[in-house]
Amino acid sequence: MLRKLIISVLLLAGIASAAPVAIIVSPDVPVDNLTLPELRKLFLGERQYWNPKLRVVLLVRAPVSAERDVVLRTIYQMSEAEFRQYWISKVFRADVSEGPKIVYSTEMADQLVTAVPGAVAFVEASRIPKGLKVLKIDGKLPSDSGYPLK
Amino acid sequence: MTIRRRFTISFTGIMAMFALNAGVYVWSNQRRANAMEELSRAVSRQVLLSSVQLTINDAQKQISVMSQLGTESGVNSGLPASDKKQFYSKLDSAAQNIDAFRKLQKDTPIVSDFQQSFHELAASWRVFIDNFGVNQTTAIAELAVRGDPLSRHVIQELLPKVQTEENQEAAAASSNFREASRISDEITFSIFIVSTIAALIAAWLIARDIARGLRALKAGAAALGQGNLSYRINLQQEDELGDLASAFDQMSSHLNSAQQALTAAHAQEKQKSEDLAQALEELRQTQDRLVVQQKLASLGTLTAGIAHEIKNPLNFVTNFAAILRSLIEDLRASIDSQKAKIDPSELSFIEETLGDMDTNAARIREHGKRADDIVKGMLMHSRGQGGDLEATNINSLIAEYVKLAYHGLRATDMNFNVTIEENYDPAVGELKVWPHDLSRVILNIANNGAFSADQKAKRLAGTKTDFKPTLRLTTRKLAKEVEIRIYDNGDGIPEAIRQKVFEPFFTTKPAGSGTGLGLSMSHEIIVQQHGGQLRVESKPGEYAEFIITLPLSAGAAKGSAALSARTNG
Repeated sequence: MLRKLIISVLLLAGIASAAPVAIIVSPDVPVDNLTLPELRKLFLGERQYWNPKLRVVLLVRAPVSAERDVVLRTIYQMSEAEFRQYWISKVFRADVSEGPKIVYSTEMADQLVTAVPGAVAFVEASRIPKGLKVLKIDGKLPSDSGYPLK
Repeated sequence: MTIRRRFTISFTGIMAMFALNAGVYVWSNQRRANAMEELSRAVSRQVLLSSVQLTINDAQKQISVMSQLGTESGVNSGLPASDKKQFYSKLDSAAQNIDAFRKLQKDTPIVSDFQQSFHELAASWRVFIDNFGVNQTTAIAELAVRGDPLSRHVIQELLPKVQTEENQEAAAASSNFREASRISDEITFSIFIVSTIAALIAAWLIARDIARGLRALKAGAAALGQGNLSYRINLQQEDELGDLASAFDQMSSHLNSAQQALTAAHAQEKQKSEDLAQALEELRQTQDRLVVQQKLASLGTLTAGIAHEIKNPLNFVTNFAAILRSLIEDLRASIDSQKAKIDPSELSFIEETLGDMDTNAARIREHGKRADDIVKGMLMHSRGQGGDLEATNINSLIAEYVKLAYHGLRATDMNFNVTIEENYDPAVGELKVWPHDLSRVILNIANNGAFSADQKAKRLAGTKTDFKPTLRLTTRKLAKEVEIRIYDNGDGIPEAIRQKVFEPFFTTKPAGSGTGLGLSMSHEIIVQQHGGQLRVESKPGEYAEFIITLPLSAGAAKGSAALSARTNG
């Protein structure tokens, strides 16, 4: 009980101190706004298509990055180990045909989102590449107050 | 058709059935082997496909995990060469299995597309592996842009289709195997049934014909064994039994012909023997007749001589007896005129003596007359008779003289009573005969018959026997002669004297009742004079029947010749 309390305090402290994370997608993605639950379904692999012809390609930042931490905390609500276990299980249960792809930098994310149709990635809000679409979460951009991915 | 041919055809048919069955067995075995091979290939393909599926799934998961886990160090830390080699080896193995699978499978578009897509997927995965940890962006981009869509296409679309197609192929192979087994079993069973039925029918037909033929031959042999040589089998079969039956019939025919020839020869020999016997009998009868005739002729000659010598003295006897009676009458008349002059006692003696003398003279004349009649008969017998050959109605002549005989007997004996039965054949008509002589014959024989029947009736009178004395006369016209039968139911003629009745002076009548010349004279008239025959049939105590046959024409001529010869002699 005490350990949970300490972890909750630390998480709240982290959130309070983290920079917002922007969700970027390739320009051909026919979506502009998502609710946080929709975004969570998207990143959990429960929604695999933007539309019947466009598949969702998840790009996840490699470990040890602030954006990954924010996403794990706000969207997945999982630890690093839980995240890995989640996707390995999902792949081996064949719930999904492929898991999220790892990117190692914002530039790499920028390149892949630009190159891969239906790709979605998250980057630090202050380093959003030009020419990419940033999805609103719950109708809010990263610069708006109350943006949930911080 | 011959039995040999039937057996040959039946055997050939059965062998053909066997051959067909063997062919079906080979065919079905081949088809089963093909189906089994096809099934085996299907199993092999399924094994290969399962292996490929496992390999692809493993590789895909491996790639997926790698893509989402990445490397610990980020960039410039690619996979170890051994891991790459192992992964590539896995892909190569899957490619080889797909290639092997494709060789075992018909080259369908889906399989071709599957192989092509797998090659592209393997190439994409190679790019991913080569760039993984080295150029992660390229690796992820390759995977996201080509690898993942290809893997989804291969795993989620093509592989199920290939599996479905393969399952269908396996099911078809299995069905084909079962169908081949079923068809071969049905054909084999059908051929067995048809062979059995055909063999049974053939056996029945052959056995029936053979049995029928053997039965017919057996019946023929039995009939032949019982001596029925006219029996014919007539077996209408065109086979060995038919030939045998035909040969049997020919043998029977030959035996029959031989038997008939033998019978004919036997009959001919028998006829010859009978002819010889008859000729011998005729010869013997002729001999007897000649002896009798010779004897009769001798007797006739002797009788004629004696009669001639006796007749003159006999004439003196009878004539002088008549003269004596005349003289006695004259003497009696003289005495009557001188009666007064004679002593009554002397007169009585004289008249009594004259009466005795007249009586004796009358007896002398009477017996002399009778002796003269005998001598006349003897002379007539020895000389034959007179009269001319005339066409005479035989029936009328017989009827007339039978009545004369009846009334003659009736005149001498008032108790005489015989029933006359007459049965004359109108066809007899007239015949050239010596009617006077023939009438004497009829009169003699009818007289004898009526006398015999009457004597028998008188002897049986008083007894309870219902005897009716009968004299029956019958005429009948035969082919070359006329037959006259004179029957009486008197005492008949004993066998011992039957041959003597035609001899002169033979008689069974009481002394003084017959001369014994009647039948002898009748025989002379019929045989010698008319060229006919006279014979007698009799059963002693029951009947006697005299049978006269007169030739229609030749007999008369013969008779004329005989008479002429005798007259000349």
